[in-house]
Amino acid sequence: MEKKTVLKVENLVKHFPIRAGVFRRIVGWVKAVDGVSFEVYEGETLGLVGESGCGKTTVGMTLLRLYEPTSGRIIVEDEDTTYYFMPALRARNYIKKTYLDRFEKLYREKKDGALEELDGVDKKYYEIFLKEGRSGLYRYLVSNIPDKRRSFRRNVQIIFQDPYSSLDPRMRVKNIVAEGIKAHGLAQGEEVIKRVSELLTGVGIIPEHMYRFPHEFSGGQRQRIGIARALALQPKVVIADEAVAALDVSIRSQIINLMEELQERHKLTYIFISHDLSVVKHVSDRIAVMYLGKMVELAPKKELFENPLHPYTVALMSAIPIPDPNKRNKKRIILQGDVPSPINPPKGCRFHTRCPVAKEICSEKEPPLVEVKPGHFVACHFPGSLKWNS
Amino acid sequence: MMSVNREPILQVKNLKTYFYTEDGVVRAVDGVSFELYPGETLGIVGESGSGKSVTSLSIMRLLDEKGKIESGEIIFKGRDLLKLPEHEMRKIRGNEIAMIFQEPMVALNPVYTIGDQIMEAIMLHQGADEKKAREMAVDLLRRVGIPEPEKRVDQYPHQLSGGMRQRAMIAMALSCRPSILIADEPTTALDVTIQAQILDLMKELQEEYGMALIMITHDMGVIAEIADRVAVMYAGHIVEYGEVHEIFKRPRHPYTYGLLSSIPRLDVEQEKLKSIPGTVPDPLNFPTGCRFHPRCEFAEDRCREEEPEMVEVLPDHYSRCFFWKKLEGLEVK
Amino acid sequence: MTAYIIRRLLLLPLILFGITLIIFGMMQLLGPDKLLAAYVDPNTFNKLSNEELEALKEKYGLNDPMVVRYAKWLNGVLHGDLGWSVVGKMPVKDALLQRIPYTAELALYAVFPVVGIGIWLGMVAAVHRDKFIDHAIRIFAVVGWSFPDFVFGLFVLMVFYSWLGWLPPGNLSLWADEIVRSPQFHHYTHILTIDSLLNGRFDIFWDDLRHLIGPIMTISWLWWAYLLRITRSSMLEVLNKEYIRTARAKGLDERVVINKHAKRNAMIPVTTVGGAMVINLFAGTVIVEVIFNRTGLGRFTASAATQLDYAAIMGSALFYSTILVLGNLIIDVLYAVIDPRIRLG
Ligand SMILES: Nc1ncnc2c1ncn2[C@@H]1O[C@H](COP(=O)(O)OP(=O)(O)OP(=O)(O)O)[C@@H](O)[C@H]1O
Ligand SMILES: Nc1ncnc2c1ncn2[C@@H]1O[C@H](COP(=O)(O)OP(=O)(O)O)[C@@H](O)[C@H]1O
Ligand code: SF4
Ligand code: SF4
Ligand SMILES: [Mg+2]
Ligand SMILES: [Mg+2]
Repeated sequence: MEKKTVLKVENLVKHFPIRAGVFRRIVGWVKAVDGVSFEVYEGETLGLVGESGCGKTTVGMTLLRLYEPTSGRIIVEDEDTTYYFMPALRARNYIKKTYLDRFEKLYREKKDGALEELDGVDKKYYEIFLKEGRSGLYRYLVSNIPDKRRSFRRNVQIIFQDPYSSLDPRMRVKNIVAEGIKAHGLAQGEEVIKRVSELLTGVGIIPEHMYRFPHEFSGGQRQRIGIARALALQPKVVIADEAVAALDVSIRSQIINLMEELQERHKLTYIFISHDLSVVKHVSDRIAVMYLGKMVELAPKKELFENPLHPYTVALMSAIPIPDPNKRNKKRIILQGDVPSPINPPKGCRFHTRCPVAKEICSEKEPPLVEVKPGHFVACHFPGSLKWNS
Repeated sequence: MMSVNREPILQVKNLKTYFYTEDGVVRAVDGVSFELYPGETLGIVGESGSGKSVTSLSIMRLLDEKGKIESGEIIFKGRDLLKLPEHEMRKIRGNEIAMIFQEPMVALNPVYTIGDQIMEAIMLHQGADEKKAREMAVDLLRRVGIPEPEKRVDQYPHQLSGGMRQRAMIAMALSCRPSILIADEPTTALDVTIQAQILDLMKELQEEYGMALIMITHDMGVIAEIADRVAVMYAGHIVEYGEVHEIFKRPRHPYTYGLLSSIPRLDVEQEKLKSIPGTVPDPLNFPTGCRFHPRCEFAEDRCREEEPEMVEVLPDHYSRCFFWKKLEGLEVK
Repeated sequence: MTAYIIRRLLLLPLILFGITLIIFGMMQLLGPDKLLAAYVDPNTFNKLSNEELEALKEKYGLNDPMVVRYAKWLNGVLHGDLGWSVVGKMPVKDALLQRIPYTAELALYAVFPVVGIGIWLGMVAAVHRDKFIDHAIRIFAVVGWSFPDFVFGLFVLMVFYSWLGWLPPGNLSLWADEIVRSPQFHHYTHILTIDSLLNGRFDIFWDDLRHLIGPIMTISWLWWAYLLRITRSSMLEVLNKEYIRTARAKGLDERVVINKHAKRNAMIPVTTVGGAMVINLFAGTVIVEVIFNRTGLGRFTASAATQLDYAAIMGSALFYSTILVLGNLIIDVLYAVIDPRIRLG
């Protein structure tokens, strides 16, 4: 079965400046996300796990372009969307550098032959370049930016962690859900009410309650409303950032089940961000493990749990308390110390300060993310050397 | 490790703590009884608002003005803490019974160094002078695994990481070698790898100091990891109470059963998660009869009218349910 | 922190420059005719012919382009010359120097009742929340808060001067004023309460004090109620913090919990607001100076404003802005002293 890629992230980097001193000069950078690449296939759930501060939220926010990426490419449905939300001048420079100049050079060297070594959007854009020339491609890329933005906003939606602060307390539920529908002109008048009723019913909220305010609902119900709001625009990709973390244990499973149902019904693609490996394991098809702004391992769920290769993944799995007192005495791997600061991440492998199997090379050379088996990527010099049996 | 023939160090009998708020009376803890034996770990588990924290604050008598202990007894080493005058109670707090809290950032005073905050209790209860107290504080910090304790002792809470702050809290709580440590969700705010460190440390220290531990959490995994006996709370009641293996293997209350089957697990394959329908009840308006009945899959008419009592369903295993027999033979998947 | 202070100090001249520019600009909107009115006796002004008016404008430089006039003014300031005050009938600098001590003295003494009573009552109210004493303090504060200061000032004047004759208006009694102006009286600090003591004149000290109490009461009236409210709510918030519970859980005495653990934290927001208030005391003396007939800076600025005495307006603005910026800086430093999170970043 050929899997269709809906979203592709290439070498995503997001650094936040730290300012200090008399003139508020930039004295350093928080390297929140530092070169992350992955693909998301249509209809799947990609889980993103890692400890607090490893950059999960930043990945999500940058994908949504609520943060401007420092560098990297974000491709949605075979179109480069990276420049959609850049100021005009920056967008121009980006297009020039990423496509026009590069293609010109390629053409000088290889003519049509270059097509063979390109793939994805590069290939698509190079074809346009061949047919319509440099200015043709430029026009193709910059035309109708407002429409492109709108369709991007429709296609990619987010569900936030905190059901208490993510809904405007002064807005009625109806308006919260209808806001996007109206803004994108998806329905008018009576139709809007009908849509909202459908959406609310779909997430298990009685439609008669649409005129209430968020504070009249419990945490779990608010999260349902948050989900209805995200689904109002019929998005393709939904980013769920710790969507169940703030909920009570007995409510958590309701929301997880609901999200799975909705995924099936609406053919949604999820990026499910969580610090809780058990939840991620339950919902995901593939799982990406992050540490200090880097992706350290990425594999299909089953493969990851049967054959975890990165020492951090192994340590993370062993740290999670198993709700079965009979499994208590298994020897867990206790990592020493804290996660280092993302301002000055350790040299070489970022995990080497805490890694139980680190060798000399680990503090010198950064291990690249390589595909060790089909679909199983890991960034470690000694993959599989830390063992732990559950 | 059942402790049938030992004397309990702490006995809570029919504790009722209510809050008189503007919206009405919150029956936060409504007839809770349990005992704690020397050296053991009692886990109290329940969702937010079920009354876990209020139970522990009632034991320490640290409720705010709105909270009233309506009735009950809290027998510690033969004395009823609820009858002690305040100055006697102060000698027990931090000295005989110590407590650590959920958010190590907000539970430490931001304007004093951690050394200062640890020394305070030592100087108060042990009459140590400042120099001695400081030495002891450094030793304690070293004992709880804080690197460079001589330097850390003079640092402020915001200069430590979350895990280190919780270690400092533990050092503070242990400074007077209490016979009971109450830990109210000590790892909830921490990352799992740090949680593993802290749980490990607590187990180790408990053994070393021989103290009894009340571990409050909403995480069944933490309970399974550390508790000897468990009390499951729901809506101000303990609904099930017994030895940890018993509770996990043979839950005899529908809520415990639902909770155990609704958690996503790392160690077993699950298709769809079971879930408990409905929402956590509003503490101002607990349902009549059995408080769990609107969400209970086994509920019958009787449950809506009559409140079930705690019954011993198996030796040393108690459940507050009329129809606990319906759970016989059900396995947690 | 040091970097922050340095940055603020570097910003000071910039802020002052900006403020004078704005005020200068606004004055220019009036046009040269209106500005000229400030220089000429109003009785003769209407009788002047156009030629005479032009000549006068030329004389006072009112026809120069705005930039030139501003540059002239700025040049003067840099050389310690703030221009000529029409209202004060003397150089602006001298007029300011003459009046600032009166206002400073007033503000200085008003700080003590405001800060002392405000914070103390706020703490007491918070600690005894919802008890009788808390209600009493809060009612007291509401009354203070809702009573305009000029009404209160008139009330003080009525009761303590007209009725009881205890607290006279003005700066000083005539006899005392004469002595103070005589060469035998040494002005060490220009703050009369202090100078009179240094000169050994307790009678003058007492006389000065009697003139000060009314205005001090009036100024404090509004502000202590305000500070009380802030202190109370800040303290209540702190008392609900988990670290207070931790302190109690250690078995500490309630007095230690309040005095050591709660108060210092509660002071953090109070410092900001309270500090800003103290700075405002300097500016907020106009009404009081008018009511009590004192020749202070507030009153001077007010009359300079009504008569478009723009050199004087700019001079006062410069002074007030300096006080404001420096005052805020001091607050920030205090803030850092109390709160290690600021100090140690
Ligand atoms: N707006 C910002 N400015 C500066 N630094 C930031 C900003 N947002 C995030 N960071 C930093 O970037 C790093 C990654 O943050 P991020 O919120 O992505 O982590 P996370 O993995 O989502 O963590 P959590 O599990 O706590 O939500 C952290 O060190 C954080 O402090
Ligand atoms: N200070 C308080 N004032 C009013 N109600 C309170 C107070 N503290 C707790 N409660 C209520 O008591 C109930 C139990 O709370 P708590 O013991 O904190 O729950 P948890 O099990 O999450 O620790 C909740 O409904 C809570 O709202
Ligand atoms: S590269 Fe080295 S330090 Fe990094 S995870 Fe692998 S073994 Fe550990
Ligand atoms: S008493 Fe009835 S409602 Fe309550 S838990 Fe048992 S079966 Fe369910
Ligand atoms: Mg996050
Ligand atoms: Mg709690």
